[in-house]
Amino acid sequence: MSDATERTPAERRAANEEQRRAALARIGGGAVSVLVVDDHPDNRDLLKRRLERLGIAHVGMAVDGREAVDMIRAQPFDLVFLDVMMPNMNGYEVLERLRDENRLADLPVVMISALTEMDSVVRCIELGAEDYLAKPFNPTLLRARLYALLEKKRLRDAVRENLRRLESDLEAARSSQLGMVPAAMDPRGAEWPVGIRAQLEPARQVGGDLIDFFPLGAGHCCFLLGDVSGKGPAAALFMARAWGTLRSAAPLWAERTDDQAGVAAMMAAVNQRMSEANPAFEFLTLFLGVLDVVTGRVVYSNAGHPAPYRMRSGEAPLPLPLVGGMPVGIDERVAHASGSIDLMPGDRIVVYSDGVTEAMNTAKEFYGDEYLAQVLDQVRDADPAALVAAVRQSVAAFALGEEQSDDIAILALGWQVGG
Amino acid sequence: MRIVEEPFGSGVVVKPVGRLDSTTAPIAEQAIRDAMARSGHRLLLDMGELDYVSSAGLRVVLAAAKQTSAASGKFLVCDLKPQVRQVFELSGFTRIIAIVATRAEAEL
Repeated sequence: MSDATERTPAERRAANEEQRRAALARIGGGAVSVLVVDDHPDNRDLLKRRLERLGIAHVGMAVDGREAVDMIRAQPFDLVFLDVMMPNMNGYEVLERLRDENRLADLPVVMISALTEMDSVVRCIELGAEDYLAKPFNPTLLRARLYALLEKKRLRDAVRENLRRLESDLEAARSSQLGMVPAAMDPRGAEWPVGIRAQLEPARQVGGDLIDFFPLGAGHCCFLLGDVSGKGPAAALFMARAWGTLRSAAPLWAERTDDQAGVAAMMAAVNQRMSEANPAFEFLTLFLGVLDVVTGRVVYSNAGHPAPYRMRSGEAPLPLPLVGGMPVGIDERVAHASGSIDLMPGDRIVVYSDGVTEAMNTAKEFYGDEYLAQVLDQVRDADPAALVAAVRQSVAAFALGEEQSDDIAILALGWQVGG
Repeated sequence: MRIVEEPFGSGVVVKPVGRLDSTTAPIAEQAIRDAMARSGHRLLLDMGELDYVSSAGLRVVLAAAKQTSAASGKFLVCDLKPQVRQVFELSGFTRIIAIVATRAEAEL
């Protein structure tokens, strides 16, 4: 048995060489650069030669701590071997300097020290050094420490790079998503007496809440607010698809027989398209309203969304009766009913997502429907901008100290406000 | 979120405890998917100790209903607390999900 596994010195050398190559490939090969800091020329040269033999292409050398700090500031190193006792600036001071400059998280430092100086090694580890190597150098230990630390650094760098890339991708997605929400709609005289303000705030970088509003021809204004089940990137993609589908369903309005049929046709088109190719079983609660800018009649359909409020000066907020149907995207065969409500000049409508009413405070209590009605009741006469601000601020004040757990969307529309 | 699972009739009963929201939904979805695979898509979801269901939680329930239906299995939900029932009603889920009052009334 032992005969079969016994190797000749040549075979052992070949196996070692193979191991060395594999290790070197893992840590990034010849691109690695290491800094040796020691005031004794013999120690420096010996360590440099050994490192080069281990495959490190770039070995920098510094004669004392001050030169080491200057070099580390000027160029990137993957690893530093640092002596403790040196003139000008000793190893402790170098570590303190690197720590103060927040460099130790990216730069592993290995202390070079005599075995009799264990106390100083401990102090260096406490200051942020990763490891130590005893003088005189043992080639096997040097190799083991070198490869282990470089591999650890490479993995850490890769994790950080992935995280950075992910964050920048999500940040781009966020601005693209927020760009889908129109900023505002302002009234234009008697011809267009409609003003809208809205606010969309994903809980994470991107979210599943949806806000949109746009004119339908010269006489009507479409406004909608939706909420995709879930949040984050998957919900955001579904939301973006719903947004595009809704916009492309808008031309159906021109073919309507009456306003109720127009709203129902838009809902049906969106529901049908969102129910197709939906393998993750996502769905969207959606309030879709169309205001006749001349008569003030709002025709709407509510697909499983919290009821919006009608605000009228001197009256308590009135939840819009629930007319509509199931959330969008669940079943392409269900039809959505539509209802209507007649506005008086100065009336406003507030639509919101459950990120408002299901906001939680530190005692894990919900903001709730009743509280929203109370908040709105206190700003009965506010214009759309002030309504959005009042709701948003009440959520912020309520959930003070708690992380925002769900996407928040608020839209307020005013008809003939102040005119 | 804690999930209790035990045999029930010809299938299994899965009982999530706590809140079913976007944080816990992936855990519940995986547990339900595993339970469906083991039970030949015969599943009772006991909501007796579920205090809250968000839209992400509804999606998990919907996925279970659609998957069992596609596999010609059976999916029932029982014992909804009033606040959870309200969420089901508002979203129209009471019309598409088979709901029974208690576990005793469920048949798998």
